[in-house]
Amino acid sequence: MIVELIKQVRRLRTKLGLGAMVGLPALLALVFWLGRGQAGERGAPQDIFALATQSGLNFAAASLEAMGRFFLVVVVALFAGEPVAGEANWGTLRYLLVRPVPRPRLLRDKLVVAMLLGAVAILLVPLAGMAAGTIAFGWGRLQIPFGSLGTGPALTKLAIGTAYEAVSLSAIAALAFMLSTMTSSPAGPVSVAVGAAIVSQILDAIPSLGNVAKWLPTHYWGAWTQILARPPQSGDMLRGVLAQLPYVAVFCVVAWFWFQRKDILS
Amino acid sequence: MSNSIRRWAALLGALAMVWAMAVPPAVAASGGYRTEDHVIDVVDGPAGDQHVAIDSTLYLPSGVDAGHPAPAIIGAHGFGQDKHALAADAALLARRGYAVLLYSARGFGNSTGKIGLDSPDYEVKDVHQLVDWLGARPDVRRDAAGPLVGMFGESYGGGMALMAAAYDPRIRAIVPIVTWNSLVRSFLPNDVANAAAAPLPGATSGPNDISPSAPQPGVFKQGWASVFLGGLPSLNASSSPAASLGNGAAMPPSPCPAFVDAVCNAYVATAEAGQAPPEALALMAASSPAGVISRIKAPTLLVQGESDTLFDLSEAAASQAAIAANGVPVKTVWIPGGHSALPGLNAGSTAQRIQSLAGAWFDRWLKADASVNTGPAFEWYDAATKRYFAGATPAGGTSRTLFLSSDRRLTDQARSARPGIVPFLNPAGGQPAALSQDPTGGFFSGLPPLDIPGQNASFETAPLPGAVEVVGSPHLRLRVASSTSELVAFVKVEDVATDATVTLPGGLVGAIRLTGLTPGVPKDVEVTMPALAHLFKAGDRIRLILAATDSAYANQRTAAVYGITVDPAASLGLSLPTAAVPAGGGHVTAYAIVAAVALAAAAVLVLTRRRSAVAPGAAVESAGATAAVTISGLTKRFRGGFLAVDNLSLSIGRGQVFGLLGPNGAGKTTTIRMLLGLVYPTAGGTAIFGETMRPGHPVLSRVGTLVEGPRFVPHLSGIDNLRLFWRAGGRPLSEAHMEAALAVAELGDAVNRPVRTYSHGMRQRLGIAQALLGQPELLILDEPTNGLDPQQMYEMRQLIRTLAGRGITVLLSSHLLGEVEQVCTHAAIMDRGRLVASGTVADLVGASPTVYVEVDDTEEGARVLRSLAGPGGVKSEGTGLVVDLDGSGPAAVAAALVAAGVGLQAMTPRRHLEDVFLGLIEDEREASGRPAGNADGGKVA
Repeated sequence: MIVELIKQVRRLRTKLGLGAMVGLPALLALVFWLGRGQAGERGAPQDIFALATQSGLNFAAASLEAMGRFFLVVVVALFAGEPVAGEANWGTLRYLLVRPVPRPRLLRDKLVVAMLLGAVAILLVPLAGMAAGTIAFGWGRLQIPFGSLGTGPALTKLAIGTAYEAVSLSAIAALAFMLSTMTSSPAGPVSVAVGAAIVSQILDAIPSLGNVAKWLPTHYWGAWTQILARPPQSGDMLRGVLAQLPYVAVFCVVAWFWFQRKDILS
Repeated sequence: MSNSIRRWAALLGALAMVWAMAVPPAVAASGGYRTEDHVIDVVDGPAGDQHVAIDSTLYLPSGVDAGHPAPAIIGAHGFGQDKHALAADAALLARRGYAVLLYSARGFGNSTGKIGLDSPDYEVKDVHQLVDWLGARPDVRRDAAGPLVGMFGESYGGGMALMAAAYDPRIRAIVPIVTWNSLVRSFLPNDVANAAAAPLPGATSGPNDISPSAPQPGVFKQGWASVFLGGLPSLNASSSPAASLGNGAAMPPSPCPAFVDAVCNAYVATAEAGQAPPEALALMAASSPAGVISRIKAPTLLVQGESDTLFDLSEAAASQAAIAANGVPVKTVWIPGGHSALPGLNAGSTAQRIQSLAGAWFDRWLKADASVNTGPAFEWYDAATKRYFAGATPAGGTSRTLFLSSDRRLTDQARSARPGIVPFLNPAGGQPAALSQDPTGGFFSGLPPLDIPGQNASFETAPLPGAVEVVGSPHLRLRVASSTSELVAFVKVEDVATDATVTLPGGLVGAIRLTGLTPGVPKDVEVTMPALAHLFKAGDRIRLILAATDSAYANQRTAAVYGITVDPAASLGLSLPTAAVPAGGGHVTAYAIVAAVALAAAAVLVLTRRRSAVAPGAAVESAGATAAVTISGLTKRFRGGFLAVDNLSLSIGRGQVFGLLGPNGAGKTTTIRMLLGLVYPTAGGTAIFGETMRPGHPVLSRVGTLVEGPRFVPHLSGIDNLRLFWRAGGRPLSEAHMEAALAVAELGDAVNRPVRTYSHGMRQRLGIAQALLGQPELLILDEPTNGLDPQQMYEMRQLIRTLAGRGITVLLSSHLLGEVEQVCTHAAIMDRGRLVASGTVADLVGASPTVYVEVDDTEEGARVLRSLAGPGGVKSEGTGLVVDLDGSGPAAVAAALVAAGVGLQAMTPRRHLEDVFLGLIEDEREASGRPAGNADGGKVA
């Protein structure tokens, strides 16, 4: 597992991916900072982005929400969808397997490292947002619709929200990981998983889908903001977490089965 | 007063008893109880001189008699109904052990008299005499204060229960359902808190404000009033206005013949004027529990509907507060439905809930069974989750304030509110009017609320970031102005969903009537709207509307311009009482079930897979302890039918250097992959050191491999690749013999460069070094000299010889015959998946016609041997000589050299493996009827 971690951490794409998770919130902060003053006069609605410039804490929340729908998906899909297919692509997969590394253990190590890196990426977003936001807009209470929160509760809620975001990306990550065991082309699983997330979000926006939409893996994305509401609400977050589990279970079981029975020809 | 009532009641009770005995009861019996129909004669009216026959049914539980008396419960029906309406409830209560008396109120059913609207002069006196009648029965339990009587009723009957309990202390517990606290507020609401100096009759703020003598009327709720007094279809036919008009005998005496004259006159006067004259207000106040509620000592369970624009939730809240102030136990339950949605009230689950709650309430307070738990003091129904939730009190929790902004926003940030004035118009004649509700349950009742442009001021929040559960009365602080001295407006709190559909929660509208204004001068007012229970979902918008008109009300007929002044400094806006948003019920459960099933299925699959984890392929009998590799019947057919390896059997002994020969596509690599557990055999199996192979078998840790070329992680250096490769196996780096391996690779400083910068030869050497890590006992090298220059190939051969010298078994595959010939002790030849030949290299070559000799004097040696040599003669090759033996054995060569005094340093049979190889393959292909030189294509055996 350490081996896998070293292998992945020292890769350029890992560094770029994590760097983007720091850089994009910083860029966002710059854009907001340059555009400050205009938002207030326009009478923007009181949503999470309109409140972004209230404080560093607010900007952390806005960053998490801004990145959650796409950039985080790409990075998490990259971390989850690339390792097995990438190893096959290098041709090193066969050497690892005859080392021997048992196939289930190889998958486990790769999945754990992918999850770890994904979690770090997600964690970096609010941290970078908080740092950039504090520089740009100063430190202060977390302004929420219907009030504000002090540092302690705000940090706790942001932490829970970040954890929820991480969990809610797990179905997409599991999909990418499953596909990764099926191909030796690392771009495939990543792009298919990102595409699946986009398709799911589009489907979710179709009203006639009705209750079916509630079972889409992306339906409860963004539900983390409910923890900021007053009073805080956990119903949708609970649903969101539970909705991920069937996908994760199915994708992981298929991944393990497939990989265990696969002829390694790469 | 109560003493005089009691005396007067006792007298009338005696009279009633005489009547009851005079009329023999009709008796019926069914499971657990029996019923008796009685006509009970009562005397009422302001002067106590009106005789009314009350039609009633008594439900008596089985086993109840004078020796075993039961507590009694009176059930009062709703408006337009009669005693049969509550039969199901009565049966349930009778089975619970109560004597239940259902009766038709005066003016309804078969009872005589006219409707007095639960008046103290009429209906209250009737119920008092019903209690007397019960008290005279020996089978009704009693104590020192009189019979033990409870009362429940719906709507009109619920109001009766409250009124009766206020006037008759023998009523020990009541369950008023969907009813009023103040008829004035219900029919002439004015939700402005400071509209006048004198408080409203039945104001919701508490019992101390009740002052029926100083009514401050509001806006006439004419829609509902007309339903009640103008002729309800279900009123009994004989007393409806249409029936009276249609009998042709004479002009009817009154436009509302079913009602006592005072009620009828009050209604007509109010409906005609759109405002209530004082006598009408006084009549309504007299029929309202609000004015007498401080007398209620009976524990009260208030049930009120969340969809009720007639008797809204605030009515129950007012009763709750007042009765609680009496120090009396009180509980409030908000149910789905109500007068605006009566089917909801009667829906099975709601009816059952009311019945069980009422049963528990009577058990606790009428039977005085202290062990009964009646639950929390306040319960409300959440339509989103379809569940009941408990709270301390309605509006007792948190609240959220939204400030008005003149740009039509509602904002929670007071400082972002923009000042200004939002004007709107009251049309002349009060028409057209906005539509919020249709009391008749008619065509408009299912439609969303409709607002007329220009006749309202609306303010809207941004999409809510999270759900907001509003439970209680919204409160407004407004600064309003009118172009006239009056202002009538209607307040609505609407839910605008993400798909733009608009919901008016409960259909509820707050009504404002201000009089005595100075035209154009703003006035600050506080407005408390009817209580509501509604979940605003995340993403929805909360919209506040102040409308000049509403079709359910008597609108202001004078044209006027109204203005809402927004002053951020004055904290003008809307305050919503909120409760914790209930977690979803069934929905979460569904997710949990699906998640649990998926996880359980996954667990089952994983566990069963563990048990059958052995790879396909039979266990392989190892060919004795000496065998390093055993291959037995090995077959691989890929998907698509291509047969790569066909029933291959081989054995490689320890210490052998074994060459696997064959043209490209012969199946060498597939065989090696199966041997290493990378590819699953279709049939047969392999074993290494006696261990039947399966993927990831630990015995592989004793094997060094180079399969189809070296491959490394490109962004890591050579040394890091070797380290990580080694550590991936879980063994400490100290066992890797890294230095020895690196010495083989001869990469120098390049080991610290990323592998992607390496030449092919460097990678090949690094691959060999990787294979040698940890000093394996078996080396499997697939095309090891591929891509090497002649010098490196030579060194590779030397290395293999050296390793073989150490006793390491080597399996190498190659299509280069010379390589195999030079280093291998044993070889197998494959073609198109099949084993063509195998054995020692010497055997394969057979009785070789040439030998290779190395002598100390090459020239002399060549001369000597020429005499022995056959047609091939003697050729020089490298540092030695190749001699065509032409039938003579190697011994003859040795003897000749020794005889000539030439020092023989080495002599090996010269292997014409290439000849053998080609010959064998040729033979094989001829045998199988296929042309030579075509190794591709499926060979289906």
